[in-house]
Parts: sequence; structure tokens; C-alpha cells
Amino acid sequence: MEDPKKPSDKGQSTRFLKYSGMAMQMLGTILVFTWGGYKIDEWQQNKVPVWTLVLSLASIAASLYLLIRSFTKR
Amino acid sequence: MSLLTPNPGLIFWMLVVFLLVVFILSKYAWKPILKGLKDRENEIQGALDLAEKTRAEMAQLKSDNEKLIAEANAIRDQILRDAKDASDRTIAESKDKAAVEAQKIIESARETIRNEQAVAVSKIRKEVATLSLEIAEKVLHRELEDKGAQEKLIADLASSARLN
Amino acid sequence: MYTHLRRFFTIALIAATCVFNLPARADEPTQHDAGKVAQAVNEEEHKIEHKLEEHEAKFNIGEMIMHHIADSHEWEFSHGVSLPLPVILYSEDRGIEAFLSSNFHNEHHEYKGYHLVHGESEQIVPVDEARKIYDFSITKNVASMLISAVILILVFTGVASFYKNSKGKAPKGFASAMEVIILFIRDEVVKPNVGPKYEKYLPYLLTLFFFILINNVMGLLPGSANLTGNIAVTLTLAVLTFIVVHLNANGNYYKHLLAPTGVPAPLLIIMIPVEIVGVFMKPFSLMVRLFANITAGHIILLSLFGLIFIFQSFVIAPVISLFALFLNFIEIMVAFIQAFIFTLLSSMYIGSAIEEHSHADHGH
Repeated sequence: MEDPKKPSDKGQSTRFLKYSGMAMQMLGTILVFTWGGYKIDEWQQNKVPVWTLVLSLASIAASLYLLIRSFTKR
Repeated sequence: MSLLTPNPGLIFWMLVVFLLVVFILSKYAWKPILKGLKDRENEIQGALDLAEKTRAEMAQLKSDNEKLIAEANAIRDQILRDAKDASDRTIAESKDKAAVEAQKIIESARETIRNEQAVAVSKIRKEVATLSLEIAEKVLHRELEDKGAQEKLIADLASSARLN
Repeated sequence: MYTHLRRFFTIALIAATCVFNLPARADEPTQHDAGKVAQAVNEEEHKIEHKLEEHEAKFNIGEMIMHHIADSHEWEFSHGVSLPLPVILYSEDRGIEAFLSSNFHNEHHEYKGYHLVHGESEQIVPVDEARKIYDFSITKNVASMLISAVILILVFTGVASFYKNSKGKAPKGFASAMEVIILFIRDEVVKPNVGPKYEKYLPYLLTLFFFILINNVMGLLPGSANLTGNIAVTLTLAVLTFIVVHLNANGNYYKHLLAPTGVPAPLLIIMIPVEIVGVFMKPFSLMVRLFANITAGHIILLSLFGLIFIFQSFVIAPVISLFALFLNFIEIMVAFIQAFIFTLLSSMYIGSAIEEHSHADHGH
């Protein structure tokens, strides 16, 4: 069982599955931040939804950054 | 949408039941099963190792045997060669010896012959001398018995001497 | 192959949700005026029942699907044949109360000052609106879960006894079948993803896999509960994995979380919150994936069967049954794949948190 080739072999075949939850995580992150921004805007009673805009765009950028980094890492 | 709102009661039961299942199964199922699997793997690994070892040993033994056989063969060849060499040498030696001996015998025979010859020659010489002396004595004895003869002889001798 | 399936089911879920959500949303109860809504719903329901009685043809597919997917206080095997389950309620003023759900089978669906509301999903509300109750009833899902737990325990202690009794022998029959799966989980899922310290997490992950698997499969049986398609269940499983991960995570993991390496300093102000949100998104995606896949499968199957009633035609029934049969096979596959995926991602998740060397981030 202690075949040194085996783990790396299997790791390769299942490693791509870690990306299967990526879209959902990205979506979740973006939604959480946008919702947070929306709530802050609501609380501050801003005319222009600054926080919503800033946080949603920032979260999109950040999750894209994380996505690209995780692709290039391994 | 109620489908997406978790029901606290169900969460409670889920926690209780699932943790109970995890606990019971880890204690009474996974532990013996995983241990059994591991033991068996170890056993199989052990058996494989043993087989490998035995095979290696067999190979070792075989190569040892072959080496032994080769060694024995080599030794036998060596012995045979040695024996042959020895016999050859003995034969050659005895041949040489025999030749030398023969030579020696021949040589000694020759020597003996030469010696004998020399002895015989000297003997003959001596004999001849003796004989001729005796003859001469006898002749002289007889010649000198009468005076006339003596003178005649002297005369002969003297004449021959003159001729020389 | 898996991603295609998942995409397909996700789309199907969204579509189906739209289909059955429209009529149901009209009477969505809110916390605020639960009592009034309850009464309204009750009346509405009386009307529906009345209509059903006099005219069976009036068939609401959304309600039918919802009824099959949602939890219930009684176990309905087929129309009219149902097993009452115990209702356990806790309230601060009355303490723990327990009675059979069949007690609600009266004209007003009322018993002991409680009201059983058949809304979008079944709910017990107190008649006195001021009271707050906690419902710990043995619902259909809980009962199904208990059955699955008993089956799991019986099966695996049985398999374990084999290993105890016949040491060193090759397994036979059922034990060998289970052994194949256990070995698969151990060698292909847990060992390569968790790393060298995998043995500590193996019991949890094995239980996770078999628990999800048996409940997925049991959910496919006709008349059974839809346990793994219930968000409370997947939530609990995901939260347990989350707890396991964060109890065992090493310093590297936390350090990486609060000070991501290789990120320019100005970006940190947004990256750290994103990383922290990401920590919660991982179990969230675990939860949603299992829930959505199983629920979507059930909705598709139920929609197919619902079509038979909608079209009111026996000509279409064989065709739909054929589709449903095919889908059922796919569902069995999905049952295995989802259990596998949940276990696999949990292992990766644990593995990334206990990883020794510096880069402790997998799958952001």
C-alpha cells in the first residue's frame, strides 16, 4: 500500500474537483459583500449607494484575484 | 422560501443523531474494521516481503550452488591439470633421467672400454716386450753358443748398422 | 462528467423553483403575523381540500412537489395511508410536551392550543400568538434519519464483527462489498487529500460518507423522506466539517488567513475580509451543493410524475415513466457522487487546514 507513486497519482485526478465549489464560493463572497454594502447604505441613508458599489466591485475583484491565484499556484 | 430556511428542531436532532452515529461507528465499527484492514494489509505485505525474501534467498542459494559447482569444477579441473602436469613432469623427468643414466652408462661403458683397451694395449705392449726379450734372449742364447755364429752376428749387425 | 450533471441539475433546480414557487409565494407566512396567516392559510387549505374532494382533477404540481420535498409531522406512505409521528414541543411556560401528530386530525387542525399549519411547509404554531415554542418533533425526516442511523450501526457493527471473528481471512459477501467502499474512501479520498495524519479524521469522514450515501439512497425510495435534500441536515453536516477543520487547523492556516502571503499591502484591506468570508463560503458551498443536487433530483422526478396528472393522459404515462426510470438511475449515481464529493471536499478542506508547509490555501 505504501506505493510512493499512488498518492500523487490520485491527488492529480481528484485535485481538479476542488474547483467545483469555486463558482459558488465566488458568488457567495460577492453576495455577502454586496449585501453588507447595501445594509451600510441603508443605515447611512446615502442617496448614492456608494458602499454597495464599492464593496461589490471590490469583492468581485478580490474573488477574481483569489481565483486566478489559486489556478496559478498549483 | 421555507425550503431554504433550516428548521432548528431538525438541526438539533441531526446533531444528536449524527454525532451519536459518528461516536458509535468510530468506536464499534471503524476501529475494528480499519484495524482489521490494516492488519490484513500488513499480513499481506509481510507475506509478500517473506516471499520476496525467500525468493532472494533461493536465488542466493542457487547462485551459491552454482558458485560451488563452478568452484568444484574448477578444483577438479585444477586437480586433473595438476595430475596431468605432475605425470607429464614425472614422465619427462624420468625420461631425462633415463637418458642421462643411459648416457652415463654409455659413458662409463666407453670409459671402461677405453680403460680396458688401454690396459689391454699396455698389457699387450708389455707382453710383446717380454716376448721379444725372451725371443731375443733365446736367440742370443742360441747364437752365442758357438763362436762362429757370434762373430757372424756381430758382423751382420755391424753391416746393417753401416747400411743405416 | 460530474460538473455537467451538476450544471444540469442546478439549472433544473432553478427552473423548477420558478415553476412551483409562484403559486406558493402568495401565502408565505412571516414571523410577525403568523397567527393571522395561519388562519388564512387554514381557510385556504380547507378550500383546497374541499375542491380536491369534489374535483380530483384540480392538481397543483407545485404543492405536490413541495409536499414531497418538505418535512412533515406524519409519514405518509401513499395518499391517505400515513403513520402518525410524535410531536415534541418545548415552550418556556409549559415545558416539554409530547403527543402524537394524529391528534391534529380534526376539523381545525388544532390540539392543546397548537395549530398545525399546512403552508408551504408544515409548521406547528401556538394558537396564542404571544407564546414562543420550539419544535423538537420526531418528524418524517427525523424518523428517517433514526432509521438510517440504526441501519448504519447494524450494518457496520456487523461488518466489524466479521473482522473481529475471522481475522486474517478474506472477507465474504456483504463485508467485502463494504470493504471495497471503505478502502476506496480511505485510499483514494482521505489519504491523498488529508495527508499523513489522515487516520485521525478517517472515522468522521467514513461516517459522513456512509451517512450521506444511505440517506441519499433512502430518499429515492418511494414514500421516503428527503433528508439530504433538507437544508437543515446539510447545514449541520457542513457546520460539523467546519468545526472539525477549525479545531484542528494549524497556525499556518490562521496566519495565512490574517496575513495572506504574496498580496500587496494596499490590497490587504479588502483581501482579509474576503479571505474571512471565504472561510465561511467553503462550508456554505458544501451545504448548498448537497442540498441543491438532491432536491433538484427529487423535483425533476416529481415534476415528471406530476406531468402525468397534468396531462391527464395515460398515453403519456409510459413515456414519462421511461424518463423517470432513466432519471432514477441517474439519481442513484448522483446519490453516490454527492456523498463522494462531500467527503472529498471535506477531506481537502481538512487537508488544507492541517498542511504543514507554508502554502495553506486550497480552492479559494
